[in-house]
Amino acid sequence: MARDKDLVSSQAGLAAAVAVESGPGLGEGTEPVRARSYWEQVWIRFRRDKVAMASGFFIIFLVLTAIFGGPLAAHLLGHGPNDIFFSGVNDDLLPVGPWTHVQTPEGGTTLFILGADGTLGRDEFLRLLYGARVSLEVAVLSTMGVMIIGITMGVVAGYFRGWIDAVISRIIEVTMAFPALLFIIALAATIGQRLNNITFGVFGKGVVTLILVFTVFGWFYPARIVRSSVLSLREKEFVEAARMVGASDLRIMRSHVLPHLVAPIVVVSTLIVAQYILAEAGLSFLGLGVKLPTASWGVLLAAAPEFYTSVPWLMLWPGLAVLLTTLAFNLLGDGLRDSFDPRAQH
Amino acid sequence: MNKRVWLSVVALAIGAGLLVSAGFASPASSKSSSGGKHGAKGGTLRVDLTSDFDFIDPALSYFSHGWQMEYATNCKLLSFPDKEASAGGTKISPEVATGLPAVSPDGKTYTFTLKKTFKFADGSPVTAQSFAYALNRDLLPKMVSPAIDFMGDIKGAQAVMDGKAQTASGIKAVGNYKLRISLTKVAPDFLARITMPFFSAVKVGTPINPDGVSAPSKGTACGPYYVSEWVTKRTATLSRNTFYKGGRPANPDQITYNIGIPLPAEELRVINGETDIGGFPTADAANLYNQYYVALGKKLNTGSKPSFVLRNQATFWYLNMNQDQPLFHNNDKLRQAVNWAIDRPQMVRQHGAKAGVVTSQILPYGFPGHNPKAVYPTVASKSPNFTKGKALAGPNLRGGKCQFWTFNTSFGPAVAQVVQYDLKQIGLNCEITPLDRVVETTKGGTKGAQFDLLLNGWGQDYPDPYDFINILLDGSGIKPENNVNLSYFNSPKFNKLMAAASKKSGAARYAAYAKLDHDLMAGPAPLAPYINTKARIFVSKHVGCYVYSQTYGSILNAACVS
Repeated sequence: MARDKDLVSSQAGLAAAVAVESGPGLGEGTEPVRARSYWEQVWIRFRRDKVAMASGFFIIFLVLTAIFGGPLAAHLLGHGPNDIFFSGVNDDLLPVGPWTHVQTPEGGTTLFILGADGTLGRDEFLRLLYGARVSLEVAVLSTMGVMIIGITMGVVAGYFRGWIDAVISRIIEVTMAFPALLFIIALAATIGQRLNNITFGVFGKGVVTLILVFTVFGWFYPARIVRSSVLSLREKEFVEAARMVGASDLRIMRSHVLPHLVAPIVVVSTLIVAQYILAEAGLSFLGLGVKLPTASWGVLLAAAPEFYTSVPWLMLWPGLAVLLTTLAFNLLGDGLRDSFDPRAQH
Repeated sequence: MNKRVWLSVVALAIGAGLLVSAGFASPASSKSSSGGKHGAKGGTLRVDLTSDFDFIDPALSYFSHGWQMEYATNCKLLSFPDKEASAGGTKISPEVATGLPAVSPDGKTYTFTLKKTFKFADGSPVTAQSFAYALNRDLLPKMVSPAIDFMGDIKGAQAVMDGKAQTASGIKAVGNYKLRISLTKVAPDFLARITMPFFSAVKVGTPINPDGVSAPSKGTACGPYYVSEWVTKRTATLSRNTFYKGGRPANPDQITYNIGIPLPAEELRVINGETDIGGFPTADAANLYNQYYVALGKKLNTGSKPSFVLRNQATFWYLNMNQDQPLFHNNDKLRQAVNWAIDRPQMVRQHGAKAGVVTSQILPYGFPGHNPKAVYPTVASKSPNFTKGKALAGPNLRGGKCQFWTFNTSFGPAVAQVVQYDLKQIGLNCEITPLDRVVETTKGGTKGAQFDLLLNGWGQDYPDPYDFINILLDGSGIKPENNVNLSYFNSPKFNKLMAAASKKSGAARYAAYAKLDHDLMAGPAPLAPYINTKARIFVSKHVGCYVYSQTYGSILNAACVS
């Protein structure tokens, strides 16, 4: 076997390596070698990463829960996420705890699995499930918008340099310096209502507003990171080689530069997903975004500190949801990064 | 397990642990007060505020915590004693005036004689000219003072408000220590009105500036303290007016404010003794009451633990129904339907434990003119009444959509959601827009604002029913901006009735207002009141004595710290 290893290590070739691995005797019982495509190799590497796979399954589970979980649970429990129950609040006017049966106005009882959400006596579990949809819509779509614009601007600025880079960099700086919070307050006070009514027939009221606001004020962050990466990548030999064989700028950016940006793109994306879940609560507070009584994780988290000395678990449920989601995206992102670029150092 | 999985597990555990431990975190500590002995003068009284003063200028300040500060720094012709309401704290008493004014036989001219002992914080004397200047300054259009709502009946005031004159002919300083004010009509509430901080003395020559004066405010402070420092949205300090000889207590050496402290942090700071007066999240009211309540007349828990005190307030919260918008315009039945359909007890619960009493009337319980006979039910067994609400709303829904403005802190969103839920049961679908409180009242106060319902509160400026009914509902006072009649209610019939009631005095006056309250709610129902609030005050173990004013809140100059 030591000799076989020597054969492999002395670069005897792929066929020889396969022959060694597949068993004794060249040509006996070996299957024909099929070259794997780039994406196949990515998938194989990704599949080997059990943590990334688990994260992926968790995210799929989360998406399915966001779409189907809420309505199914509401049907089984017999009440909705916005139904107010007088008896969901105890004599001290605090929400009841987990696994409490509360009285319905019709005289029966219903179960609050995670207790009530606050002084309104609504079901925290259902609001968590329904909130998943809003939070994921806002976080994922905002991230996509931010990354598309940020990557485009960053790549163009870093690749072309010169006056294009100067203009884009100034736009980035203006966006960074812009008093976004004041603008958002002004927006809420003026055309906020009209903006919130834009749904495209698919989204809830206020979701599109949030996505727009986050995208407009968030793209500069990945743009700067991508720009600095591209500034160094454009000097590499493979870019020069591509130019020499006549590849257009667009082809070079798309096929040679962009693949090397997967790692930072994935890392930044996973970081800002969680950021936008929390930021969504802040904008709802200012009058933009999801309309009351629609639940979202951010809104649930924003309301929880009111009760942190008396009912601290109210912070736990949406906090855990955000934590696990962020962790899943981060681990998935790590796995994707390693799958795309296995030479990258851990 | 590989290293990355271990790291992930550790990260997850740390994250979950941080969530739980966040509940036990306490805020950064601040300097503890160096105080005099319990009950004696001295020490620094520390007050936490969640929001800043709007202004420190007496002509402009109109927030409740601003008036609390003004009460410690101003001096007025007439004021209230530094006593609890039960001990005579609501009795109008002379302050700078030597006594109640001499009134002319026609009841329209008031002559005040001033004491010669009052001085501003810079040592200059308070004279009749100081008061005349203050009143005229309030009237000037450039100041944009809310005081003009209370000065329209002063002779010559309209000319100043219209920009045709610099001074009102009805405001005259006769020598240095006599002030004469002439009105266009008899106003039995005039003496109560003159107690408002808008009418405190300011030094002649104080700038006419709609942004108000800044600190140090020596020229506008003739009370026990003056504002020596104000870092907006951060801190403020009241220092003793060393020239003050007015006789009111000035117990603490200094009063300091920390501004922008969140309510949960304020509660912890009071418990830990890092501040002396602070708020708390409404959810903690029951717990604080159970642990620290001290009844009126009993000694505070000084030295051992904080104290939680309850005081009656002449304040109510209500829904405005905007009659400038199509939904509620000329739609008495729908407004009545709203009053039947809202779950008042549930709305009150959103204010937290011991927050107040359910009401469906405009004038607060115990207030002069309060009518004991309510039109709409307030007990849980009868409120809400969806059957009656549906019957009234049914043919009057006009599309059944409404815009509901509320403020975005404390109980604002919760109350709004209760109302939204209740009105949905009678076919009215309301979309809630939470706004910053200042934005809500500023936008709502602009004629033409596009809301149908607005959640608002009103506390007495002075103890007279005019300050509630006429100020909030007299349509003849509606102007393009800065309105407080946010229902934009303008009924010629009721305007006349309100004007007629305002001319009466004594028991007849209160009877007229009691009838007005009832008739307004039974007929046009321009508002939907739901709570008369109580003041819930949380003070630290360092506070040895505490006094509350129904108009001004905590009487800071009379508090003592150990």
